[in-house]
Amino acid sequence: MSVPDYMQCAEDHQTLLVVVQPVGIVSEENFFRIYKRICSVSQISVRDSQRVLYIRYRHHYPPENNEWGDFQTHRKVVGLITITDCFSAKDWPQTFEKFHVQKEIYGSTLYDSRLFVFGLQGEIVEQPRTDVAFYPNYEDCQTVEKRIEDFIESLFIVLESKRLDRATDKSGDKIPLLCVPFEKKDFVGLDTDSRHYKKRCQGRMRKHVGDLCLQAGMLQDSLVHYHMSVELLRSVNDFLWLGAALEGLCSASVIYHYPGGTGGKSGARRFQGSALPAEAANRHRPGAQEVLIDPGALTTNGINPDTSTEIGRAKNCLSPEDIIDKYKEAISYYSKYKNAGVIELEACIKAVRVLAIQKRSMEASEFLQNAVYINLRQLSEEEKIQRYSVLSELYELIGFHRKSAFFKRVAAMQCVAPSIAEPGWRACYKLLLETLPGYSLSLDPKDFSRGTHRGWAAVQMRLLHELVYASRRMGNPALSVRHLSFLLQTMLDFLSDQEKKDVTQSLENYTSKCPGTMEPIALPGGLTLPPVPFTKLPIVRHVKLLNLPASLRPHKMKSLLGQNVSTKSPFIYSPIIAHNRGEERNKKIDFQWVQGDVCEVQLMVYNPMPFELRVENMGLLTSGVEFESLPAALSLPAESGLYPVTLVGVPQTTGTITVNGYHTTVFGVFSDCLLDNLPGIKTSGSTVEVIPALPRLQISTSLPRSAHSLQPSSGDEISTNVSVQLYNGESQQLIIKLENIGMEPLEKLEVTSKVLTTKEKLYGDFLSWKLEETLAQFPLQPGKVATFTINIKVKLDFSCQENLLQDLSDDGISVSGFPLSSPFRQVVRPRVEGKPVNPPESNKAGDYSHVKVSVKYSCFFLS
Amino acid sequence: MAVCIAVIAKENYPLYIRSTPTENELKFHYMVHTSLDVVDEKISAMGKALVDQRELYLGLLYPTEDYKVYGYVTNSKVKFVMVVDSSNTALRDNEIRSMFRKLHNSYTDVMCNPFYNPGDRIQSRWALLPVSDPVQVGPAFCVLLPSFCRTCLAILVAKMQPFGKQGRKGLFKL
Repeated sequence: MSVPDYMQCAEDHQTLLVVVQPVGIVSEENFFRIYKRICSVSQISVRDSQRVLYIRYRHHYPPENNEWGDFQTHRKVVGLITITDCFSAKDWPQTFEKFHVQKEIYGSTLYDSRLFVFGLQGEIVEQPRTDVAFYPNYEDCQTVEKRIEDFIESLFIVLESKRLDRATDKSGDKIPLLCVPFEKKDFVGLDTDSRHYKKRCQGRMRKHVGDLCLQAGMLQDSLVHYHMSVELLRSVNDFLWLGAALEGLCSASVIYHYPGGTGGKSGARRFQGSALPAEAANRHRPGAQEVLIDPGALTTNGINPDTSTEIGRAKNCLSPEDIIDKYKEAISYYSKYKNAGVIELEACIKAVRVLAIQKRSMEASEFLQNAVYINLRQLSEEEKIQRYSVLSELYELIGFHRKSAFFKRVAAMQCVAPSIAEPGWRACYKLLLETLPGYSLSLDPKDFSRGTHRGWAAVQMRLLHELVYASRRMGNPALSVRHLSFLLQTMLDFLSDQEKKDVTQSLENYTSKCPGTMEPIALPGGLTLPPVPFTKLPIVRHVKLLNLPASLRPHKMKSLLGQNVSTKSPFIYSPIIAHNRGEERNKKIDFQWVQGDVCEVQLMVYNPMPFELRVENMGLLTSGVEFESLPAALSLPAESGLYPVTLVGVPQTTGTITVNGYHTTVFGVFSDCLLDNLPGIKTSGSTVEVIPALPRLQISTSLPRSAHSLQPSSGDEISTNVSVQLYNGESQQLIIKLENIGMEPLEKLEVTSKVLTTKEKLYGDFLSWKLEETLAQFPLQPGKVATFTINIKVKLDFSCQENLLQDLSDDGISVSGFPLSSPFRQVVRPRVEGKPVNPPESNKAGDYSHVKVSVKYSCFFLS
Repeated sequence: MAVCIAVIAKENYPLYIRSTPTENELKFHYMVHTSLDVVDEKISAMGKALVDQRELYLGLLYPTEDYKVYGYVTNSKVKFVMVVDSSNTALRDNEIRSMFRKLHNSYTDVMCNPFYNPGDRIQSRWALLPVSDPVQVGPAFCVLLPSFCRTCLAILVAKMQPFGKQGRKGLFKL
């Protein structure tokens, strides 16, 4: 016996084992279709009695396990059903021959067998046979279930006869010694007449009868037999069989106590699921009577003569606590025999299932711990996987999720052990995924975004590495990329510098084949892997929406709206409105962006990696307004401090724009990082109003730009300085070119001038212009250029003041710095400024006459 | 000899885990992680007992081939897990108990540290956990002290000028 059945449970002891096998070439699909139908007949009530028979079907059963059938009768193959295809009458004899060959394999233990032939028609079919059933095809076989029921009934008859035969065996002088395969040679030459030997024979036989009773649905009887057997075997120290008798006792008690079954396979297995234990006991009473038909048989065998009292006693059935004690005892006996490893292992598993129902996890874990150490012969890789998976399942059953995950992971690793020729990466990956809950690891990065990561980082990292590797070997680079991104994103704090390098290196390798996306990946198992945005590469600390540069900032024209600026509410003051505005202010920023103009958002980022981080395709994610994002690429030095990054874009429509986040491409992985999900980010509001497009005017002058600005820009205005040197009486034209570089027509132009000097009287009014000519060109269409001419004519009045010359000479010497300057030269440096607002007062007058020419422009919207 | 000591938070994530054979650290991570199943089970089993009568020492959690895993749980459900070499028969229940008690005291000291945020990983720059010496586990578990910020450390070092002479053990007896 070498192949353990990991799915065994205590109630399997009451089942009859039937093997269903195909003969010849039967397609798997057809076979399993019939197999399924056969399996549906798993319990039948025997006619004329209230007993129920349970059948366990197997489509594969190792014959060497069959040899242990005497030891525990549920291991014995008692029925064989073969399924075959046969299309012509001349193949028939051959097919029938094969059926017989098949029968030979389990021949020694079979009670009965059946052959199901599909496809054959003709006269052979006409002959009525009990052991062969003919069906024209796999669809047209409604009577399969009926046939199986008949078959089981015939099995029952054999079983019942065997049971009665053994139970009432009067030939007390010679009871055959039942033994397990490895014992056979031990009994050669033993004195068969000794009392000891006889007792042994009796005990074993009693145990065997108990098994048969249990199978025949006579629970109470079996309990009696087991009890007797235990007493007999204990007295002769026949440990292996004593263990089996104890286990039988446990099984029968489990069946009595837990009618729902312990295997968890079918809840409503017994008696339509509703029978109470007491009732069940009563039902079995008729069976119990039967054994008493001949009490003499028992006495002659030297067994306690008064079985009737024993039947009546409640102690026949073990209490739930006793079951476990007896299981322990049985297992300790089994463990004395190296060859009974499988029996011991299965007993452990059965006990664990019982304990799981009793919710006694600690004891169950002891049994499992024992099961782990049972050393079977060299297991094949497949069996190892199976063993670890079952251990994992059992640990799960008793609520030890971590232990379960541990064994599942071991099973997964076993799937791809180097000794396996064709490693099952797919299976490995699937098993690894199942371990995730045990390691409290979810593959959704959102679960990690809150605060610091808390978990078994070392263990989880290992698991993620294994997932990456398995998915890569599976040939699914998208999965590897997803897992690797997840690893990098969530475990960044736990990776050493070298590991960071390695992980990013391999991530880049993978993404070169398959770039990471923001699409969720659906796995065949129904699990979806949510996208992993790299919010930590780089880490964004601060997001700030920037106002437009001063020259492009929109200004509201009072005259346009006039007195029309009124609140919508009829009340002068309403606290509700004030409250609303206060709330809005939190989110909304008090400047506007202009449609069609380049708008900027500044991010403060830093690179947590120990090497240079290249961020490509970094742009804004917005909503509310059509927004053309102009992505940027940046390269952050290793472990940089906060680093400002400006992301730009152009709103294409008007409305309220909300900056939701940003997108990046790092190591070939696209990420959409939403600000809401970023921990510890500072933002000064992310909603801005976008107003309709405004015109833009570019001003250029015919005169050269002045090298130095005479007046510092106050920030509110945009100025251009030009300078010109003129002699008294000289005149010059200053041509100002006005070009509409925006998309909107310009409609209005205003020009004012101001001489910024205290010596206004001295210089007089030397600027003159004709605005009408320029205005004639308005409205200025986009791309068009208008010119505006200013005449500068210098005429100094030397007559009025004495110290004029003195002043001038001071000027000339001190400022112009020309060595050749004469006292009669006048230096005039007009300053032309194009500005959209009224010029502020400037006190920086003095040596030169500063002239401010303000140009105001605007357009009207007919809205 | 304890080969591995772990402090586990109420929410079952490790606050501190250190083992002496550092080359196979992951093995101990797995071992301690799976032992939590048993710890949970034991805690839930004794949940009904009165608080003052509750035994903090959980006893042997499970034996493996080479090691024995012991558990201890504080009243605030912080767990201590200790892995000892099973070949070491000198360690009886009483020794393990006293080691845990010392560990508990050290843990309390860590909690008293104003620079420590409860729930954070306990980090230590003093990687000298003498887990191999059962008697020393207690006093030297001051290695559990979290890493000080640089200024604090500087002050400390300045105060404890004869750092080398006095040895590290004296450092925290300020």
